[in-house]
Amino acid sequence: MIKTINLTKSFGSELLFSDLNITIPKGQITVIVGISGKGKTTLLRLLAGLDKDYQGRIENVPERVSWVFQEDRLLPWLNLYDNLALVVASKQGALDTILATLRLVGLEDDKFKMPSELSGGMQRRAALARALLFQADYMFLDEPFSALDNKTKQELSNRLFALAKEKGLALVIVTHDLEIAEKADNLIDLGERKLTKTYKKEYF
Amino acid sequence: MKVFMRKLKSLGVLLFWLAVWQVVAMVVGRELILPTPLQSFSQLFKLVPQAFFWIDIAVTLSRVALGLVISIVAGVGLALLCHSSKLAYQLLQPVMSTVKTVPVMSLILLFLVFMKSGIVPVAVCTMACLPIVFSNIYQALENVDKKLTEMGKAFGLSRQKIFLKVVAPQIKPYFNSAVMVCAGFSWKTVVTAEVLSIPASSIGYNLYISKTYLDTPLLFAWTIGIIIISVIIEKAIKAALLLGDNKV
Repeated sequence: MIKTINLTKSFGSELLFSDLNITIPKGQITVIVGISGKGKTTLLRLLAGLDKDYQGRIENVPERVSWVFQEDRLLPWLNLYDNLALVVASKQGALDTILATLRLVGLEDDKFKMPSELSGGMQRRAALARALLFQADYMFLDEPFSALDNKTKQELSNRLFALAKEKGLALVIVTHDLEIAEKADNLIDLGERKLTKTYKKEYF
Repeated sequence: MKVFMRKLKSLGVLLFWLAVWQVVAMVVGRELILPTPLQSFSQLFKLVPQAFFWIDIAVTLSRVALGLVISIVAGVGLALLCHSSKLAYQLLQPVMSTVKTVPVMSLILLFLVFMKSGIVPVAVCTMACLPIVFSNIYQALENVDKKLTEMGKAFGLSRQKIFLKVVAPQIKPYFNSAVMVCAGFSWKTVVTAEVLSIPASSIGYNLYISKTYLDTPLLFAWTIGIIIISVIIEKAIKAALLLGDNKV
Protein backbone atom coordinates (compact mmCIF):
# COMPACT_ATOMS: atom_id res chain seq x y z
CA MET A 1 0.00 0.00 0.00
CA ILE A 2 1.04 3.56 -0.65
CA LYS A 3 1.46 5.54 2.54
CA THR A 4 2.10 9.23 3.12
CA ILE A 5 3.68 10.57 6.27
CA ASN A 6 3.21 14.27 7.00
CA LEU A 7 2.95 14.98 3.29
CA THR A 8 3.01 18.70 2.63
CA LYS A 9 2.78 20.43 -0.72
CA SER A 10 2.93 24.10 -1.54
CA PHE A 11 3.36 26.16 -4.67
CA GLY A 12 5.68 29.00 -3.70
CA SER A 13 4.13 30.65 -0.66
CA GLU A 14 0.73 29.07 -1.25
CA LEU A 15 0.17 26.01 0.94
CA LEU A 16 -1.93 23.37 -0.82
CA PHE A 17 -2.14 20.81 1.98
CA SER A 18 -0.03 19.96 4.99
CA ASP A 19 0.76 16.96 7.20
CA LEU A 20 -1.33 14.58 5.14
CA ASN A 21 -1.23 11.03 6.52
CA ILE A 22 -3.13 8.70 4.24
CA THR A 23 -2.92 5.16 2.90
CA ILE A 24 -3.90 3.81 -0.50
CA PRO A 25 -4.53 0.06 -0.07
CA LYS A 26 -3.80 -2.39 -2.87
CA GLY A 27 -6.77 -3.87 -4.70
CA GLN A 28 -9.25 -1.32 -3.37
CA ILE A 29 -11.06 1.70 -4.74
CA THR A 30 -9.97 4.96 -3.19
CA VAL A 31 -11.64 8.24 -4.05
CA ILE A 32 -10.16 11.67 -3.46
CA VAL A 33 -12.76 14.40 -3.12
CA GLY A 34 -12.61 18.06 -2.25
CA ILE A 35 -13.41 21.47 -3.61
CA SER A 36 -11.47 22.87 -6.56
CA GLY A 37 -8.01 24.20 -5.89
CA LYS A 38 -7.40 22.01 -2.85
CA GLY A 39 -4.77 19.91 -4.59
CA LYS A 40 -6.61 16.73 -5.55
CA THR A 41 -4.80 16.35 -8.89
CA THR A 42 -1.51 17.33 -7.25
CA LEU A 43 -1.98 14.67 -4.60
CA LEU A 44 -2.73 12.10 -7.31
CA ARG A 45 0.48 13.02 -9.13
CA LEU A 46 2.50 12.79 -5.92
CA LEU A 47 1.06 9.37 -5.06
CA ALA A 48 1.83 8.10 -8.56
CA GLY A 49 5.38 9.43 -8.45
CA LEU A 50 4.86 11.86 -11.34
CA ASP A 51 5.68 14.84 -9.15
CA LYS A 52 8.57 14.52 -6.73
CA ASP A 53 8.60 18.02 -5.29
CA TYR A 54 7.08 17.73 -1.79
CA GLN A 55 7.86 17.69 1.89
CA GLY A 56 7.26 14.71 4.15
CA ARG A 57 7.42 11.09 3.00
CA ILE A 58 5.62 8.84 0.58
CA GLU A 59 6.25 5.15 1.05
CA ASN A 60 5.86 2.39 -1.55
CA VAL A 61 5.33 4.61 -4.58
CA PRO A 62 4.51 2.05 -7.30
CA GLU A 63 6.95 1.81 -10.17
CA ARG A 64 4.30 1.03 -12.72
CA VAL A 65 0.92 2.74 -12.73
CA SER A 66 -1.68 3.39 -15.39
CA TRP A 67 -3.35 6.73 -15.85
CA VAL A 68 -6.47 8.48 -16.96
CA PHE A 69 -5.33 12.08 -16.96
CA GLN A 70 -7.66 15.03 -16.52
CA GLU A 71 -7.15 15.73 -20.23
CA ASP A 72 -7.47 12.69 -22.50
CA ARG A 73 -3.93 13.06 -23.87
CA LEU A 74 -4.57 10.97 -26.97
CA LEU A 75 -2.05 11.50 -29.76
CA PRO A 76 -3.99 13.45 -32.41
CA TRP A 77 -1.92 12.00 -35.30
CA LEU A 78 -2.69 8.37 -34.43
CA ASN A 79 -6.02 6.64 -34.82
CA LEU A 80 -7.73 5.15 -31.80
CA TYR A 81 -6.31 1.66 -32.34
CA ASP A 82 -2.73 2.95 -32.67
CA ASN A 83 -3.17 5.16 -29.61
CA LEU A 84 -4.01 2.09 -27.58
CA ALA A 85 -1.40 -0.13 -29.23
CA LEU A 86 1.25 2.34 -28.09
CA VAL A 87 0.97 1.24 -24.45
CA VAL A 88 0.70 -2.49 -25.13
CA ALA A 89 4.10 -3.97 -24.37
CA SER A 90 3.77 -7.24 -26.23
CA LYS A 91 2.69 -7.31 -29.87
CA GLN A 92 1.61 -10.92 -29.47
CA GLY A 93 -2.13 -11.05 -28.96
CA ALA A 94 -2.28 -7.27 -28.93
CA LEU A 95 -5.02 -7.11 -31.56
CA ASP A 96 -7.43 -9.27 -29.55
CA THR A 97 -6.64 -7.51 -26.28
CA ILE A 98 -7.15 -4.07 -27.78
CA LEU A 99 -10.39 -5.04 -29.48
CA ALA A 100 -11.71 -6.61 -26.27
CA THR A 101 -10.88 -3.45 -24.32
CA LEU A 102 -12.50 -1.26 -26.96
CA ARG A 103 -15.59 -3.46 -26.75
CA LEU A 104 -15.59 -2.97 -22.98
CA VAL A 105 -15.77 0.81 -23.34
CA GLY A 106 -18.12 0.65 -26.33
CA LEU A 107 -15.71 1.93 -28.96
CA GLU A 108 -15.06 -1.20 -31.02
CA ASP A 109 -16.63 0.28 -34.16
CA ASP A 110 -14.55 3.45 -33.85
CA LYS A 111 -11.10 1.84 -33.75
CA PHE A 112 -9.86 3.47 -36.92
CA LYS A 113 -11.20 6.93 -36.14
CA MET A 114 -8.83 9.77 -35.35
CA PRO A 115 -9.24 11.40 -31.90
CA SER A 116 -10.58 14.55 -33.58
CA GLU A 117 -13.43 12.45 -34.98
CA LEU A 118 -14.48 11.28 -31.51
CA SER A 119 -16.81 13.19 -29.19
CA GLY A 120 -15.59 14.37 -25.77
CA GLY A 121 -17.22 11.39 -24.10
CA MET A 122 -15.74 8.95 -26.60
CA GLN A 123 -12.27 10.43 -26.08
CA ARG A 124 -12.72 9.98 -22.34
CA ARG A 125 -13.64 6.32 -22.87
CA ALA A 126 -10.62 5.92 -25.16
CA ALA A 127 -8.36 7.28 -22.41
CA LEU A 128 -9.92 4.80 -20.00
CA ALA A 129 -9.38 1.96 -22.48
CA ARG A 130 -5.72 2.91 -22.79
CA ALA A 131 -5.33 2.86 -19.00
CA LEU A 132 -7.00 -0.56 -18.81
CA LEU A 133 -4.61 -1.95 -21.42
CA PHE A 134 -1.55 -0.94 -19.43
CA GLN A 135 -1.01 -3.74 -16.96
CA ALA A 136 -0.31 -2.27 -13.51
CA ASP A 137 -1.31 -2.78 -9.90
CA TYR A 138 -2.52 0.80 -9.53
CA MET A 139 -4.65 2.92 -11.82
CA PHE A 140 -4.84 6.67 -11.20
CA LEU A 141 -7.88 8.41 -12.63
CA ASP A 142 -8.42 12.16 -12.67
CA GLU A 143 -12.09 12.97 -13.23
CA PRO A 144 -12.47 9.86 -15.43
CA PHE A 145 -16.21 10.13 -15.94
CA SER A 146 -16.48 13.83 -16.72
CA ALA A 147 -17.91 14.52 -20.19
CA LEU A 148 -19.95 11.31 -20.00
CA ASP A 149 -23.73 11.20 -19.86
CA ASN A 150 -25.24 9.71 -16.72
CA LYS A 151 -26.16 6.35 -18.28
CA THR A 152 -22.70 5.80 -19.81
CA LYS A 153 -21.07 6.95 -16.56
CA GLN A 154 -23.05 4.38 -14.56
CA GLU A 155 -22.37 1.56 -17.03
CA LEU A 156 -18.70 2.33 -17.40
CA SER A 157 -18.00 2.88 -13.69
CA ASN A 158 -19.79 -0.37 -12.81
CA ARG A 159 -17.76 -2.27 -15.41
CA LEU A 160 -14.51 -0.64 -14.31
CA PHE A 161 -15.10 -1.28 -10.62
CA ALA A 162 -16.08 -4.90 -11.25
CA LEU A 163 -13.00 -5.40 -13.40
CA ALA A 164 -10.79 -3.80 -10.74
CA LYS A 165 -12.18 -6.13 -8.07
CA GLU A 166 -11.76 -9.11 -10.37
CA LYS A 167 -8.15 -8.31 -11.19
CA GLY A 168 -7.18 -6.95 -7.78
CA LEU A 169 -6.42 -3.57 -9.33
CA ALA A 170 -6.26 -0.55 -7.04
CA LEU A 171 -8.15 2.48 -8.36
CA VAL A 172 -7.31 5.95 -7.10
CA ILE A 173 -9.92 8.35 -8.40
CA VAL A 174 -10.16 12.12 -8.17
CA THR A 175 -13.74 13.20 -8.63
CA HIS A 176 -16.39 15.74 -7.76
CA ASP A 177 -19.03 13.12 -8.42
CA LEU A 178 -20.61 11.89 -5.18
CA GLU A 179 -22.25 8.92 -6.94
CA ILE A 180 -18.79 7.65 -7.81
CA ALA A 181 -17.50 8.44 -4.32
CA GLU A 182 -20.26 6.32 -2.84
CA LYS A 183 -18.97 3.26 -4.67
CA ALA A 184 -15.49 3.58 -3.20
CA ASP A 185 -13.88 1.50 -0.47
CA ASN A 186 -11.98 4.47 0.91
CA LEU A 187 -12.38 8.21 0.85
CA ILE A 188 -9.84 10.98 1.14
CA ASP A 189 -11.39 14.38 1.70
CA LEU A 190 -9.28 17.40 0.84
CA GLY A 191 -12.10 19.73 1.76
CA GLU A 192 -12.36 22.67 4.06
CA ARG A 193 -12.19 20.40 7.10
CA LYS A 194 -8.61 19.42 6.23
CA LEU A 195 -9.23 15.75 7.03
CA THR A 196 -5.93 13.98 6.95
CA LYS A 197 -6.93 10.35 7.09
CA THR A 198 -8.07 7.68 4.72
CA TYR A 199 -11.63 6.90 5.73
CA LYS A 200 -13.21 3.52 5.30
CA LYS A 201 -16.46 3.26 3.42
CA GLU A 202 -18.40 3.25 6.70
CA TYR A 203 -17.58 6.93 6.92
CA PHE A 204 -20.31 7.76 4.39
CA MET B 1 -11.48 16.13 -64.89
CA LYS B 2 -10.84 18.64 -62.11
CA VAL B 3 -7.09 18.02 -62.29
CA PHE B 4 -7.16 18.41 -66.08
CA MET B 5 -9.03 21.72 -65.80
CA ARG B 6 -6.57 22.95 -63.17
CA LYS B 7 -3.60 22.04 -65.36
CA LEU B 8 -5.28 23.71 -68.35
CA LYS B 9 -5.75 26.85 -66.26
CA SER B 10 -2.07 26.84 -65.22
CA LEU B 11 -1.07 26.42 -68.86
CA GLY B 12 -3.32 29.33 -69.78
CA VAL B 13 -1.67 31.54 -67.14
CA LEU B 14 1.79 30.52 -68.42
CA LEU B 15 0.85 31.29 -72.03
CA PHE B 16 -0.59 34.64 -70.97
CA TRP B 17 2.67 35.73 -69.32
CA LEU B 18 4.73 34.43 -72.22
CA ALA B 19 2.55 36.55 -74.51
CA VAL B 20 3.11 39.59 -72.26
CA TRP B 21 6.87 38.91 -72.39
CA GLN B 22 6.73 38.61 -76.18
CA VAL B 23 4.82 41.91 -76.53
CA VAL B 24 7.14 43.80 -74.16
CA ALA B 25 10.23 42.37 -75.94
CA MET B 26 8.79 43.44 -79.31
CA VAL B 27 8.09 46.92 -77.97
CA VAL B 28 11.63 47.20 -76.56
CA GLY B 29 12.93 45.79 -79.83
CA ARG B 30 16.46 45.10 -78.61
CA GLU B 31 17.65 41.57 -77.96
CA LEU B 32 20.48 42.94 -75.79
CA ILE B 33 18.03 44.40 -73.25
CA LEU B 34 15.14 41.95 -73.47
CA PRO B 35 15.19 38.93 -75.79
CA THR B 36 11.88 37.39 -76.86
CA PRO B 37 10.72 34.10 -75.33
CA LEU B 38 11.46 32.39 -78.65
CA GLN B 39 15.08 33.65 -78.64
CA SER B 40 15.56 32.60 -75.02
CA PHE B 41 14.04 29.15 -75.42
CA SER B 42 15.91 28.45 -78.66
CA GLN B 43 19.12 29.33 -76.80
CA LEU B 44 18.09 26.92 -74.04
CA PHE B 45 17.42 24.17 -76.59
CA LYS B 46 20.92 24.72 -77.96
CA LEU B 47 22.34 24.25 -74.46
CA VAL B 48 20.37 21.13 -73.50
CA PRO B 49 22.20 18.61 -75.76
CA GLN B 50 25.62 19.83 -74.61
CA ALA B 51 27.41 17.86 -71.87
CA PHE B 52 28.80 20.92 -70.08
CA PHE B 53 25.22 22.19 -69.47
CA TRP B 54 24.38 19.11 -67.44
CA ILE B 55 27.78 18.91 -65.74
CA ASP B 56 27.54 22.53 -64.62
CA ILE B 57 24.02 21.98 -63.35
CA ALA B 58 25.17 18.86 -61.48
CA VAL B 59 28.06 20.74 -59.87
CA THR B 60 25.79 23.57 -58.71
CA LEU B 61 23.21 21.06 -57.58
CA SER B 62 25.80 19.23 -55.49
CA ARG B 63 26.72 22.53 -53.82
CA VAL B 64 23.05 23.23 -53.07
CA ALA B 65 22.60 19.71 -51.68
CA LEU B 66 25.75 19.94 -49.56
CA GLY B 67 24.83 23.36 -48.16
CA LEU B 68 21.30 22.19 -47.45
CA VAL B 69 22.38 18.98 -45.71
CA ILE B 70 24.97 20.77 -43.57
CA SER B 71 22.49 23.45 -42.52
CA ILE B 72 19.80 20.89 -41.72
CA VAL B 73 22.11 18.63 -39.70
CA ALA B 74 23.77 21.54 -37.89
CA GLY B 75 20.48 23.42 -37.42
CA VAL B 76 18.72 20.42 -35.89
CA GLY B 77 21.76 19.58 -33.75
CA LEU B 78 22.15 23.11 -32.42
CA ALA B 79 18.41 23.43 -31.78
CA LEU B 80 18.50 20.21 -29.74
CA LEU B 81 21.52 21.50 -27.83
CA CYS B 82 19.83 24.84 -27.11
CA HIS B 83 16.63 23.10 -26.07
CA SER B 84 18.50 21.05 -23.49
CA SER B 85 20.88 23.78 -22.29
CA LYS B 86 19.83 27.32 -21.44
CA LEU B 87 23.46 28.43 -21.51
CA ALA B 88 23.89 27.10 -25.04
CA TYR B 89 20.73 28.95 -26.07
CA GLN B 90 21.96 32.20 -24.50
CA LEU B 91 25.26 31.83 -26.36
CA LEU B 92 23.93 30.74 -29.73
CA GLN B 93 20.65 32.59 -30.12
CA PRO B 94 22.24 36.05 -30.63
CA VAL B 95 24.67 34.56 -33.18
CA MET B 96 21.81 33.00 -35.13
CA SER B 97 19.80 36.22 -35.05
CA THR B 98 22.80 38.18 -36.27
CA VAL B 99 23.63 35.73 -39.07
CA LYS B 100 19.99 35.87 -40.17
CA THR B 101 20.17 39.64 -40.67
CA VAL B 102 23.55 39.73 -42.46
CA PRO B 103 22.99 40.31 -46.20
CA VAL B 104 23.94 37.34 -48.39
CA MET B 105 26.17 39.65 -50.43
CA SER B 106 28.21 40.55 -47.32
CA LEU B 107 28.68 36.87 -46.53
CA ILE B 108 29.86 36.15 -50.08
CA LEU B 109 32.37 39.00 -50.10
CA LEU B 110 33.61 38.08 -46.63
CA PHE B 111 34.07 34.39 -47.44
CA LEU B 112 35.80 35.23 -50.73
CA VAL B 113 38.65 36.73 -48.71
CA PHE B 114 39.69 33.45 -47.13
CA MET B 115 37.94 30.62 -48.94
CA LYS B 116 38.38 28.87 -52.27
CA SER B 117 35.82 29.95 -54.85
CA GLY B 118 34.26 26.48 -55.03
CA ILE B 119 33.59 26.39 -51.29
CA VAL B 120 32.17 29.90 -50.96
CA PRO B 121 28.70 29.00 -52.38
CA VAL B 122 28.39 26.05 -49.99
CA ALA B 123 29.46 28.16 -47.00
CA VAL B 124 27.10 31.01 -47.93
CA CYS B 125 24.21 28.58 -48.47
CA THR B 126 24.89 27.02 -45.07
CA MET B 127 25.05 30.40 -43.33
CA ALA B 128 21.83 31.51 -45.00
CA CYS B 129 19.84 28.35 -44.29
CA LEU B 130 21.22 27.37 -40.87
CA PRO B 131 19.39 30.08 -38.87
CA ILE B 132 16.11 29.20 -40.60
CA VAL B 133 16.42 25.51 -39.71
CA PHE B 134 17.67 26.34 -36.21
CA SER B 135 14.86 28.75 -35.33
CA ASN B 136 12.15 26.48 -36.75
CA ILE B 137 13.34 23.37 -34.95
CA TYR B 138 14.06 25.22 -31.71
CA GLN B 139 10.56 26.71 -31.77
CA ALA B 140 9.12 23.26 -32.51
CA LEU B 141 10.98 21.73 -29.57
CA GLU B 142 9.80 24.51 -27.26
CA ASN B 143 6.21 23.97 -28.41
CA VAL B 144 6.21 20.21 -27.89
CA ASP B 145 3.20 19.35 -25.74
CA LYS B 146 4.75 18.40 -22.40
CA LYS B 147 1.55 16.72 -21.28
CA LEU B 148 1.80 14.24 -24.15
CA THR B 149 5.44 13.55 -23.32
CA GLU B 150 4.43 13.01 -19.69
CA MET B 151 1.74 10.61 -20.88
CA GLY B 152 4.39 8.65 -22.76
CA LYS B 153 6.62 8.49 -19.67
CA ALA B 154 3.71 7.57 -17.41
CA PHE B 155 2.87 4.63 -19.66
CA GLY B 156 6.46 3.45 -19.60
CA LEU B 157 7.37 4.18 -23.22
CA SER B 158 11.09 4.07 -24.00
CA ARG B 159 12.86 7.36 -24.77
CA GLN B 160 13.22 6.28 -28.38
CA LYS B 161 9.51 5.51 -28.67
CA ILE B 162 8.57 8.80 -27.02
CA PHE B 163 10.74 10.66 -29.53
CA LEU B 164 9.44 8.77 -32.56
CA LYS B 165 5.76 8.55 -31.66
CA VAL B 166 5.18 11.61 -29.50
CA VAL B 167 7.82 14.28 -30.18
CA ALA B 168 8.78 13.76 -33.85
CA PRO B 169 5.24 14.17 -35.24
CA GLN B 170 5.03 17.53 -33.48
CA ILE B 171 8.37 18.68 -34.92
CA LYS B 172 7.67 17.40 -38.44
CA PRO B 173 5.56 20.37 -39.68
CA TYR B 174 8.23 22.85 -38.53
CA PHE B 175 10.95 20.72 -40.12
CA ASN B 176 9.06 20.43 -43.41
CA SER B 177 8.44 24.16 -43.51
CA ALA B 178 12.14 24.91 -42.84
CA VAL B 179 13.28 22.49 -45.55
CA MET B 180 10.86 23.92 -48.10
CA VAL B 181 11.93 27.51 -47.40
CA CYS B 182 15.60 26.53 -47.48
CA ALA B 183 15.21 24.50 -50.69
CA GLY B 184 14.20 27.63 -52.60
CA PHE B 185 16.56 29.91 -50.72
CA SER B 186 19.60 27.67 -51.14
CA TRP B 187 19.34 27.79 -54.95
CA LYS B 188 19.31 31.55 -54.97
CA THR B 189 22.23 31.91 -52.56
CA VAL B 190 24.40 29.27 -54.24
CA VAL B 191 23.92 30.72 -57.74
CA THR B 192 24.45 34.27 -56.45
CA ALA B 193 27.63 33.19 -54.68
CA GLU B 194 28.81 31.39 -57.82
CA VAL B 195 28.30 34.53 -59.92
CA LEU B 196 30.57 36.45 -57.57
CA SER B 197 33.12 33.77 -56.75
CA ILE B 198 33.16 32.40 -60.33
CA PRO B 199 34.13 28.80 -59.66
CA ALA B 200 34.80 26.99 -62.96
CA SER B 201 31.98 24.72 -64.06
CA SER B 202 28.83 26.04 -62.39
CA ILE B 203 25.56 27.71 -63.26
CA GLY B 204 26.80 30.94 -61.69
CA TYR B 205 29.90 30.87 -63.88
CA ASN B 206 27.73 30.61 -67.01
CA LEU B 207 25.55 33.49 -65.85
CA TYR B 208 28.68 35.54 -65.27
CA ILE B 209 30.04 34.72 -68.74
CA SER B 210 26.74 35.56 -70.46
CA LYS B 211 26.67 38.89 -68.61
CA THR B 212 30.31 39.64 -69.49
CA TYR B 213 29.70 38.99 -73.19
CA LEU B 214 26.37 40.79 -73.08
CA ASP B 215 24.70 37.62 -74.34
CA THR B 216 21.27 38.34 -72.85
CA PRO B 217 19.44 35.41 -74.57
CA LEU B 218 22.02 33.05 -73.02
CA LEU B 219 21.47 34.71 -69.63
CA PHE B 220 17.72 34.20 -70.03
CA ALA B 221 18.24 30.59 -71.21
CA TRP B 222 20.25 29.74 -68.09
CA THR B 223 17.72 31.53 -65.89
CA ILE B 224 14.87 29.53 -67.43
CA GLY B 225 16.93 26.38 -66.84
CA ILE B 226 17.42 27.34 -63.18
CA ILE B 227 13.69 27.95 -62.73
CA ILE B 228 12.76 24.59 -64.30
CA ILE B 229 15.28 22.64 -62.19
CA SER B 230 14.29 24.55 -59.08
CA VAL B 231 10.61 23.67 -59.59
CA ILE B 232 11.47 19.99 -60.19
CA ILE B 233 13.61 19.84 -57.05
CA GLU B 234 10.98 21.61 -54.96
CA LYS B 235 8.38 19.07 -56.09
CA ALA B 236 10.77 16.20 -55.40
CA ILE B 237 11.47 17.48 -51.87
CA LYS B 238 7.75 17.97 -51.26
CA ALA B 239 7.10 14.38 -52.37
CA ALA B 240 9.92 13.08 -50.16
CA LEU B 241 8.59 14.98 -47.14
CA LEU B 242 5.08 13.69 -47.80
CA LEU B 243 6.46 10.17 -47.94
CA GLY B 244 8.21 10.82 -44.62
CA ASP B 245 4.94 12.12 -43.14
CA ASN B 246 3.18 8.89 -44.03
CA LYS B 247 5.93 6.82 -42.47
CA VAL B 248 6.02 8.68 -39.12
